[in-house]
Amino acid sequence: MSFLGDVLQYIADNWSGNNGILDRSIGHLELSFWSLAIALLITLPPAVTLGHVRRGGNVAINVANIGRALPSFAILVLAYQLTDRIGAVPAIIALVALAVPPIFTNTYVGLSQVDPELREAARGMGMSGRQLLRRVELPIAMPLIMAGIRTAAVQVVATATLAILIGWAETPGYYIVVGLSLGNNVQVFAGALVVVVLALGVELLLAGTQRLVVSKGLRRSRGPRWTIEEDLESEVPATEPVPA
Amino acid sequence: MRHVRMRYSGRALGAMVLGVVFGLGAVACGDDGGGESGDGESITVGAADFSESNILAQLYGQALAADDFDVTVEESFGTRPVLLDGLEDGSIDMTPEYVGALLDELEGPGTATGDTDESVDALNSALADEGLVAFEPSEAQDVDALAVTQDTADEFGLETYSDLAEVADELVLGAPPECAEFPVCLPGLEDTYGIVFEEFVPLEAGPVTIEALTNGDIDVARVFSTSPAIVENDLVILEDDMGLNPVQNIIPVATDEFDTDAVADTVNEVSAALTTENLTEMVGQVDIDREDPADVAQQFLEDEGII
Repeated sequence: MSFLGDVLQYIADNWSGNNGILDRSIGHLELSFWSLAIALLITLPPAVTLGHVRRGGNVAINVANIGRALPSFAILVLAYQLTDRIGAVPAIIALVALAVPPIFTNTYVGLSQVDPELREAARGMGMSGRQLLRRVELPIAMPLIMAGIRTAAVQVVATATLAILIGWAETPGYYIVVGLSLGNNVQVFAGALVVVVLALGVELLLAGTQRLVVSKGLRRSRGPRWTIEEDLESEVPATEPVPA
Repeated sequence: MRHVRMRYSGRALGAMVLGVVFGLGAVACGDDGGGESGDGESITVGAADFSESNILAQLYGQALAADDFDVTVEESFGTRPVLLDGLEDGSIDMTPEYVGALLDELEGPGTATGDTDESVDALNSALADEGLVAFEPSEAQDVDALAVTQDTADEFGLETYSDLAEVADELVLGAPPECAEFPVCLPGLEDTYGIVFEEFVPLEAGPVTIEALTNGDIDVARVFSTSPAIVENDLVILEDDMGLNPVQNIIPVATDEFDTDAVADTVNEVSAALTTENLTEMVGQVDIDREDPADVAQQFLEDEGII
């Protein structure tokens, strides 16, 4: 049988049962979900507020840079060292820390970069600040915000695999670590393949969500565009955060 | 990585040679060993990369040095495969080993048993094929044991592995990753005792595992039976009542050119003096008190009257 055949056979053989691949995949997704949820909860309110008032741009940039510079594994180990615990506690702390930067940066930039002319127009129509935010800024920024959430989600799902190294065993990363220690490449690959599938699955799910959530009027373009007069177009300039 | 060189100065060597020439059996260094001596023959003792191994290498090395051998001790020389290569190519001549672990390395996982005589015989055969020889095993062992906190032991009434079998499905085990498939670990625990844990968390051996145990992140841990952390944290080592674990008696191994009475007598004397308890104490002196393995070994040998 080919190597890939062996891998698929291994997955099939170990799929069900207590602590099998299915159990561990569910545990993996649970860890990812809760980490992402906490990250959204603590990041969106400040990011939206700051983006709306367009203050704290430096914070946004610095958070983005730090977030990109820190290697995922280092954060996990740091969380373990700081909490002296293994398992869910350091894992969630580390994964939340990883998810915050893309969510924060994209949300902030998405909101603060909304065309000033649109804001003016909205104010001119009599909208209050909150209406401006809800009816103009957020919808326009949504592609960038969703892009940030998607990036964070995929990063969390991928990095959750490493949580095995700090004692969270409910992840297909288990097979990677055990396989490595025994020199069993089929086992290693099986674990890795399952994680890849999980990450892709999450990405597709969120891409679908993005379609639902982003206003149709924004969908076709590479970034929000707005035509005020026929020959006057303005584009949101290319930004540091992940493009939509 | 550090290695400690132990060389007698040329002057001391000359003095000993003179001593042997002018007075058999009247040598001032207090050597009891039947008149046989190393005559300045050079021997290198290599250790693996952890304190216990370094201590053992120093013990055997210093005892041989006191017996007129020209000894070099290479601490933290490398892992087992590296040490075996070293014996083969002559970089080292002797290394302290463990009966079960070495036998399993040479003949495959699961070869060694809970029977010392049987395993030592098998080991001697396996070593002969490699041009190596083993001396007498010590009664001191460093076994991979299962430990629980005192609280856990009290709560579930745990003393032996058989006790563990009844409640294992409520407990989480922390052990190195290979435990998942090594015959003496999870598969063996299940086959011999019917032990199936609620969860197995792969963790590196040592402080990480001990900490997870004392924090309550895991309920049962795999520890080295000579780990000072056991006494320090009031841990309870469960008894392997059906002999699943292979024996891990300390046993020095050398290339067969050193299969001589002079070497054997000295080395066996050290092995006979070692117990699991005093070895644990020495490991504690190095790991916790941060003393030098050479000093700890010297103190022990002096206390036991070997040097």
